[in-house]
Amino acid sequence: MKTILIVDDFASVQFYHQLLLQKAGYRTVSAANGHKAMQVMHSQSVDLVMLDLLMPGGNGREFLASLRKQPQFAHVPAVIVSTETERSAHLDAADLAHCVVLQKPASPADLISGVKKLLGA
Amino acid sequence: MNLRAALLRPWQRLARARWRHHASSSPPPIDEAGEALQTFAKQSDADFTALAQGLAHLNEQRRALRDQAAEIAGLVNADDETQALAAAYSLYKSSVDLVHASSGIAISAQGQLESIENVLVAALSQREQFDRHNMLINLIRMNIAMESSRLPTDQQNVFLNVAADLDKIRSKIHSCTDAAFERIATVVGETNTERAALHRLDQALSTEARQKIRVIQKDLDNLKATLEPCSANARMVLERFSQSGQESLKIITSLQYQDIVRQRLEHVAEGFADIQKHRGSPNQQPDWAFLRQAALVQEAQLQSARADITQASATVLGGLQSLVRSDQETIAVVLVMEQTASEALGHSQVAESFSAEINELTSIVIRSEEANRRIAQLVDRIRHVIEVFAQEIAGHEFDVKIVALNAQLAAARLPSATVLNKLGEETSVLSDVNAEQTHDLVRMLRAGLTQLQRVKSETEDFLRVLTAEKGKLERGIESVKEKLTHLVTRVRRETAVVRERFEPLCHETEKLVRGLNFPEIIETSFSPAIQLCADIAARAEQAGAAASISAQGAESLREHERRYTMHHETATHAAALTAGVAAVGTAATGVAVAVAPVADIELFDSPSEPTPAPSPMLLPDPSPAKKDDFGDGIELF
Repeated sequence: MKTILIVDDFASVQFYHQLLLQKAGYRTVSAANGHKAMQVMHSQSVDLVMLDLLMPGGNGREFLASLRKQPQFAHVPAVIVSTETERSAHLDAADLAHCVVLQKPASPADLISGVKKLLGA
Repeated sequence: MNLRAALLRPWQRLARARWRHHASSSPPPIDEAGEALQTFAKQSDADFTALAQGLAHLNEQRRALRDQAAEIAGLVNADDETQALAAAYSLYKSSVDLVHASSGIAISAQGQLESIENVLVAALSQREQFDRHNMLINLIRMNIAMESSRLPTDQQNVFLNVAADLDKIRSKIHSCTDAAFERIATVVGETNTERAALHRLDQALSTEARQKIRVIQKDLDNLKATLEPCSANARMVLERFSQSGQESLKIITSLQYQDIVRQRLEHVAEGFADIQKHRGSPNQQPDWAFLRQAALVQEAQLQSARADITQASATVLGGLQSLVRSDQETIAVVLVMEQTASEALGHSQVAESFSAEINELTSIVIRSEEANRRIAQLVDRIRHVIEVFAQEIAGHEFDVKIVALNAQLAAARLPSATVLNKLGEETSVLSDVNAEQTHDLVRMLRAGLTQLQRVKSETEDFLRVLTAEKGKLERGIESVKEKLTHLVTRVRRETAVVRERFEPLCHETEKLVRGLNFPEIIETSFSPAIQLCADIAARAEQAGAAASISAQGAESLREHERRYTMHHETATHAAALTAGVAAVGTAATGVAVAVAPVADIELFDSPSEPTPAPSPMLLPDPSPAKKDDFGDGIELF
């Protein structure tokens, strides 16, 4: 079973993504900000990250950039789900590799489709 | 400025006296010249001090206005989380998050419906089995009835009674299960309808949410765009105030040179007094050699002092004029800032409409919650139907067993009841099969209901989180509404206040400039004294002054020379003030710029080796200048 790390500061968004992904047959772990997400990355195997960009206490952009700098995580795919997708344009092209960017509110179908596209399932 | 009026009279007197003595053999009168120079020194001291104080006062006011401009710039800063616009963006993000998360309600409700459907469909799948059992019971009943015809009449009743019991129970089971399965089929239909309705609602809410989000995003961007010119203007005003602070400091720096000139003039006055002593008396010839040398020394000093004060005055005047120009430009920006704020925010209902839009957006979540509540009620009703169904099915198991037992009891009462016995056994086997199937179905129904309970609990947890976040958001709406109202009001008020306070400030600076007539005063004050020295030297030449002077005279001139060597002090003075200006310049790059207090700048260092001034007489003297000679100086603050 593939593991997906959900990174979002909004508890109900975490809950929703968890509900959706578990229903679709994925195992999920959650983190409320970039710092905590990085701790999870180092403590267990994660196949995909579902990431919000704007979060207090270590935002998604910094987390993604940091992830890409670490060889063991450089290719971990990410579904970016953010309020303002134009902000994702501020991400380096290299950081955006292996990424699908969705704007909130994203439909369950789009979220699952993004995950499946990146995980090849 | 009354300098000019105060100075003209002594110099007019001096000019008249000089004219009277021009043709005589004695040197021109110099006591009045010394007095006039001292008057100039004192008057210019007072005037420059007043100017410096005026500038310092204006600087204070500029500083207050600059702080106000900084506040406006801060108010409209979109990146500062504590400010209204940023808080509005943050609230917008939270509302979008909430709407995004509310899709989970639909997912959850769908999950409940799916669970219940699974149970119902599983139950329906058993219907065929139950129908088959019913048919088998009917078959056994017909067999018993057929067998009864072969028996003696007195035994037939036993068979017929068993057959009648079987028919009764079959019929009861049939009608009951039929009704139960029909009810199940009906609720399956209901869940399908509800699922479709939920899907449609989810789609509609999602579309509506996207539209509302676009509207809010646009409104926020418009507000940001509206505030941006205010912010840019406020920053520009801020920058201009910082620049004018530096400009003022440069002017004040130049004002300090007057202090040195004043001291030099005091020394020149003393030199004049010395000349006066050597100009002779009715019984004594003037010491022409000394007078010539002394006059040249004083003339050089006066020329140098005039050049210094002229340069300082030019800097002061130029600086003030530049300050006025800068103020005029700043007031134009302030006016634009006020106008922009007034036009953009004057009739705006930004706060009201923003909070209304966010409320509308969150109403989508409320509608999702309502839909979920409806689903929850439906699920509860279906759950009850399933429980009743399970109880009924379980009840039939007992009925079939009773019939089988009755058949076997009846067979036992007959002398030859092989057939009935066999049929009773068949009924019993059928009863067991029926019981097993009933158990399976009930177990499956209970497991389904447990699964449903789990989904329901999960949904309730999710709704609790969502409700808590919704509550937080609703409180946030009020807070942001207040902040936006406050922002609009304050930007308008603060810009108006800056304009109202800055206008008189500009006029005060203009008034200062209009009151200045330095070049004229300097010319009027210095030129006659310089001319007087030149006249004395010329007269000494004509009188055949000796090339060398007495030892006493030379010592006296050396004493003056010591006092005149103020170039070192001047340089120190300039360096100290330049450092002060540089410090202000560095600070000016930040938002809150403080004009370095001039009083903190050490204008003169401790007594040091003076550098000899260019002089017609090179009279080296290593002794330091006395600090007491510098006088009171300009009191800036």
